[in-house]
Amino acid sequence: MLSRLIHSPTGLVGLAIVLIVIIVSIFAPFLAPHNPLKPHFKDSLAPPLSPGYVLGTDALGRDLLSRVIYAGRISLLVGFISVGISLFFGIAAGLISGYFGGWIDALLMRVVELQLSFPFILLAIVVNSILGTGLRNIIVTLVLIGWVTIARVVRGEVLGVRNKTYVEAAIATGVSAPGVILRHILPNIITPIIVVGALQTARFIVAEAAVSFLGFGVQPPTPAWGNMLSEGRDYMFTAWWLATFPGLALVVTILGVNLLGDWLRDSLTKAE
Amino acid sequence: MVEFVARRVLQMAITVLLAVVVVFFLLYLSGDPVMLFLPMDTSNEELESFREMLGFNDPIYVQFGRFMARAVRGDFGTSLTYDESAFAIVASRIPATLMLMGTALSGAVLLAIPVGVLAALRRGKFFDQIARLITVAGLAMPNFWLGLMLILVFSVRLHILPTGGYQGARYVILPALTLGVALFSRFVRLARSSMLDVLPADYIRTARAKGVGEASVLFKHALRNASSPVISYIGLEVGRILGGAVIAETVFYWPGVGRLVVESLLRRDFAIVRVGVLLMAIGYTLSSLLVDIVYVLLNPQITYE
Repeated sequence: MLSRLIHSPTGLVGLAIVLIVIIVSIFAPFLAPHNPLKPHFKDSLAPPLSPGYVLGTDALGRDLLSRVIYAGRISLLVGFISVGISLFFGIAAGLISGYFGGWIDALLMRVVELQLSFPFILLAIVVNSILGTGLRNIIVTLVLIGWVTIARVVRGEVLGVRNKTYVEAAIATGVSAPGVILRHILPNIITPIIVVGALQTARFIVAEAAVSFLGFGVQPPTPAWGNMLSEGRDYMFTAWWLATFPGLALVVTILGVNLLGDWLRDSLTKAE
Repeated sequence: MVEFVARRVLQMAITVLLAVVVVFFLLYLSGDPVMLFLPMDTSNEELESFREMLGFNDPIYVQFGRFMARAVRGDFGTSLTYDESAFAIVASRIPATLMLMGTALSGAVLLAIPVGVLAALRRGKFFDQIARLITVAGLAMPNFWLGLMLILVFSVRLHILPTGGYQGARYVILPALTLGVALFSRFVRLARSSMLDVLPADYIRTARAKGVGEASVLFKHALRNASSPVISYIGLEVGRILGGAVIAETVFYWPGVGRLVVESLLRRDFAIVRVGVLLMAIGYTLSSLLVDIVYVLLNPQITYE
């Protein structure tokens, strides 16, 4: 698999971007030149490449580069944690519903249909405004409306392997239902689960940014790419950099996760 | 066909009904709007009488029953901020949203199909590479950032287009682009790949062998068959378009339903949120139904069980 990565330039780029973003986020306190929350009123709205401020400063004189770096932590945190929890619930629901069928399956399908009748971002802001804003609640919001997608994919995959000979053989030899599900079905559908997890991570990172941009989600002064863009919108005529760099960071991150996800999908499905 | 439509309509009605229930209970959970609307120093007795007046003190099933009984008559309550019928306020914003979505969607489809077809014909060549680059970029850019960048370029630098609001046709260009670029990108990819599926087909070879002109082969035989996946995909895309409209409208202060819902949520004006979210859910289900029907009409060989 690693040798395949070397032959895939886009996969390599994706991996490099994701690793860089992760490393920068982990070591943010050492890499950020300033405290992201500390105002420097004398230097407010300094343009990029000003002495001491590589990407410039915002209206309060806070260093934009430091804020972009710290905001990356929020995005990764939200992306990974909400996808991790969604995977847990989504896989469990998908396995049970796909394996047992019946009313559980019917119920899950109704939930899926119902949820799909609302635009994702609309549902996200409604749920988030009910739960309340903030980092924890945006994660809860994304899990609440995100596990369904994963459950649907997992269910479909379970239905695909449920009637395979090795599953029937396991059942026939008296393996218990949990045993069949966990030891014979789950390992065989791990590829699509990894792929949907990667794609969902990109989707959740964008969703958090969108929700925070609209005024819900992560609130100022905590820097998040979404709420920074929302603040930047008010300074479009005086400070172009405020609306530019947080978005650029977001796009590069998304691109990296997506390239990595595409490569995972291609190489894993080829391997099968 | 009739049976298929009837069953889909019934399915849609059930989904919408469930959506009404979900929207009601979701907003019920979100706490007491009264506290937000009356001044801080309002006495407890006054708060209580205001709640009583609005019916917030009744048990939830009574409130729900009242909500449903009024809803079937088209009465979704009064907006606490506008002091007008919530339904009327939301309805007055619908044309703006439809105009924005219509412009973005039709522009995206009309441009994407020729680009996708050409990319398929020039597979691996320069045009295909450029189209690929543009669609990758178009899909990676979140629409809210794209909107801001369009404002920076066309309003702040070039001074040729307005930053927001609505006072004439020029105002729709940037919001429609914001909404349309991702759609365009997805449609190009889809048109390209379905064209690539179709081009090696037997009937294309037969048409060529019969001496049908190349233009006719492309437009009558290939494009017709290649466009049906695009059409059915529009149905799946409507939800994303509606979500995108919420964002594009907010970025550009567009007077549509999406921005109204965002603002009303921030103000906890739930009567409006309910109607807005509900109309969006209905619009979404209705348009996927329409797309399904058009799809069947365009493809006589498809029969739905």
